[in-house]
Amino acid sequence: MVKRLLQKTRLLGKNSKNVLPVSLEQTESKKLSKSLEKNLIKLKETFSGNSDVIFREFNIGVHNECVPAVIIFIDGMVNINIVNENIIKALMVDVRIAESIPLNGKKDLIAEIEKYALSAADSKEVNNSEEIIEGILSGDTILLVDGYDVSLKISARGWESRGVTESNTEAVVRGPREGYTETLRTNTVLLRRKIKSKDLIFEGMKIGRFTKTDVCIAYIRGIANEKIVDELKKRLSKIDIDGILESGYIEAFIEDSPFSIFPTIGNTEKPDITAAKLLEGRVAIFTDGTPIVLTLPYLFVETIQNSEDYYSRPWHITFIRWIRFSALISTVFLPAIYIAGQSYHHEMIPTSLLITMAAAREGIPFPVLVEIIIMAIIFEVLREAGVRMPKPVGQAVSIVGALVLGEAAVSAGIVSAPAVIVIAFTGISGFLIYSQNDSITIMRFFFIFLAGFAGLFGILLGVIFVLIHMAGLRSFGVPYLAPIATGTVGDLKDVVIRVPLWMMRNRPSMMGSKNIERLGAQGMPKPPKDE
Amino acid sequence: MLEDGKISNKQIIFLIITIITSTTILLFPSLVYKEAKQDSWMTLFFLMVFGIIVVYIITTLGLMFKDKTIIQYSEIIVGKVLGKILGIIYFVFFIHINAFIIREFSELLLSSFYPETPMLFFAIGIIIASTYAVRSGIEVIGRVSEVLFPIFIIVISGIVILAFKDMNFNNLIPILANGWAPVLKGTYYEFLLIGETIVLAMLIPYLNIPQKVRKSGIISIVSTCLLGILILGGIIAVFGEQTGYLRYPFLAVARYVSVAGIVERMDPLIMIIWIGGVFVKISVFHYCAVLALAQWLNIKDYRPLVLPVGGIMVVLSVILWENIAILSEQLTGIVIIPYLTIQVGIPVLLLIIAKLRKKER
Repeated sequence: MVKRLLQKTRLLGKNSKNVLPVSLEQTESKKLSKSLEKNLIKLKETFSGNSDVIFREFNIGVHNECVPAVIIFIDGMVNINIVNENIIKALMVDVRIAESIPLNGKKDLIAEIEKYALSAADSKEVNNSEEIIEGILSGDTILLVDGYDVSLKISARGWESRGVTESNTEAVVRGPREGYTETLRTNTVLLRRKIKSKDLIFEGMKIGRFTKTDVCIAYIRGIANEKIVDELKKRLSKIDIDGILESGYIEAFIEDSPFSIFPTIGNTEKPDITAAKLLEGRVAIFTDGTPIVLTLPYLFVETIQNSEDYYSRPWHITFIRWIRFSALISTVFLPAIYIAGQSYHHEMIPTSLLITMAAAREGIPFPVLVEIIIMAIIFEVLREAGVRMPKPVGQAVSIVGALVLGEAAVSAGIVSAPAVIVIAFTGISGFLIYSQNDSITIMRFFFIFLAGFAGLFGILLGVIFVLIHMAGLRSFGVPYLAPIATGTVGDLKDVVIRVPLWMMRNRPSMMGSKNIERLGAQGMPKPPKDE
Repeated sequence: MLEDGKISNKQIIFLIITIITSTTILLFPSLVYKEAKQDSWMTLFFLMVFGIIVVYIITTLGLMFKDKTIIQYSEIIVGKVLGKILGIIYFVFFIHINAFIIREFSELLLSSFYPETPMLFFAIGIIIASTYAVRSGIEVIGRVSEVLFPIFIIVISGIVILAFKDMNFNNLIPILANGWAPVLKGTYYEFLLIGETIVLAMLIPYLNIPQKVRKSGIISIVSTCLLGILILGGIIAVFGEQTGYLRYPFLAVARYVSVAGIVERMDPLIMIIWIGGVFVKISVFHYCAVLALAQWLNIKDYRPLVLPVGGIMVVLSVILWENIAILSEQLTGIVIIPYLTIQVGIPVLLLIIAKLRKKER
């Protein structure tokens, strides 16, 4: 056994020795050659079988005094007008007319082209074939010129994409409507237009062996806690996967507690929400190809916060906060409490209500627990159908759902009316706190079973379990229950109440940011005194 | 260190108030009433003084050895052998008191809410929760108590306020009709409760700022006693002479409350705060027991001990007492002297010896 192991290690050692020269050779072969023909053959070989890669061969200048060149790009990923006007026309025609560059080979032609002929905003010299291939695949245009082992990477990207439209998932009455799109650059621009500061940092990287997805970390230097940013970079750099198709892939790899039912990373579809979170010291992750931007650290209180809270006046919002909080409680506990009251604690329910409910349950064939579980599952089915179904059949689902399953089931005596009411209210309440929707659904069923098993005692034990679990959770080092359970009373100004904006002097302290002052010293706004 | 979590001074205040109050409102009101009658609420003033002295002793001792628990510094103060003996005494004490609490709690649920369920069910249920909490560390227990504390206080004071219209303050007079003796005897029963601040001797090393522990301890003692006056005074004002015949008078107050026929039957609320409060109490003592054992055995990680110790507590809670009557008889009789020795006597001795030794040097 030991011998075999030794042999293996020896073999490994040999392999590693072999690897080195090969990798050197590879880097050697990655360099461009001076001959255009050789370069072209190599690149065409690389892209063999790909019909969408265009090799456009032409001569710089006309007739006798000319240099062969080629531009390479992917059809559909470049703005064809720019390629036609500012690259091909500039090099073929304008060069001659304006005599802008010498074609006799005395000077460095590539540098001359970049300086005098090319009217494109972003270009870069590249001499590594791997970089060239990557550039082509990301939508850049590559210019190769005969006699030079350097190429020009010209950014003329342009493809069909969805425009900036109103966000569907986070609707507001008051506040900006625009939502993110699927293009990374559009999204970062949307954010940059909100925060015009040099301290807003976008750090890019590529993740995914095949997809090479652009991922971008955004934070405000000086406000964001550097430890969190460093930790995030460390976690991101560890991701090694074939493809990143949505920010959910990233979320799954950088979560603190992957097995928890609670999300420890938030997401949003709106630039104003992202901006507010960055200003509180959080960090955002933009992923190319999805309008969903991740924000972290994500704390439980963010469940009952909403962007519109800060655009409206404080009194009503404080009330709405409490409504949301009670909705959270009722969407998780109401069915369980109903079961506990019906099967264990009759004394809990006022007598007249008890009689009404008992009358409604007269002749129902199922026990309360089964009844509630059936209705809760039906609700989940309807909800899922509402999301997935093709739009035209929507009416059918609502008619079948509301009329047949609700009304008819009650009048047929299969389920009792109170059970339908309880589940309907539970479901509606759940929509108030949509960001916790997945954890809420699981908890709801968990408590339904506990209540059926041991009544109020079971529910309370369950609550204690969930509380212990939540108290132990962290999101990038920040306790998940902060600021409710971490003794930072000052931060409750934005949780149990929403104080006027001019009273929120400090950023939330739990993010650990050094720059804590949010306001100047103006204090309460007052009308000028008449004299 | 066995445990690297930290708790804030605010959390320790919440912990101590919850620990003491959650069982105060179970059996004690009627036990104290039997002795002190309408002056029961006055016992709490004496208790407050006694409590402050206890906190003073324990914190003075604890602050002399800031990063050590009583298990560790007793070995330093009185030597290895005696220290080990003291250590095992504390371990047994924590287990015994927790068995007491679990039994009280199960008996309450059994007699008032679930007459047909086996008692073991409640004991096992709460100890599983406590095991999970203790394994997650003292930091988590502190946070859970911080979430539960506001509910605890709102429900207790809410019930007392709602019961206000049913109160008859004539029940509270005549004041001191039988002199001071019954009041002092009532206080004597309650010493046990205030002695529970001994958990401080185990928790001081895990505080954020240990220097402030004395202030936190005194704040918690004073607020606990004020809360106790509110509860006891309220109960007596509502029930008067009947208080002595009720086993769980505060539960009875909650059942009695009725506002306009709509807000009534508050007893599920009592169940909520009792289960919450007792959970905190059980998990703190569970934690102390496990930590004591781990330090006594010099083990690096206390986690493997959590479940076995919890199991012992459940078994003891069932076999030690035949019924609730014996339990409450013990609570006002046989256990007071040994408990007080452990909670106050030993710390006083340790303090004296430690001071003398310091002078010698």
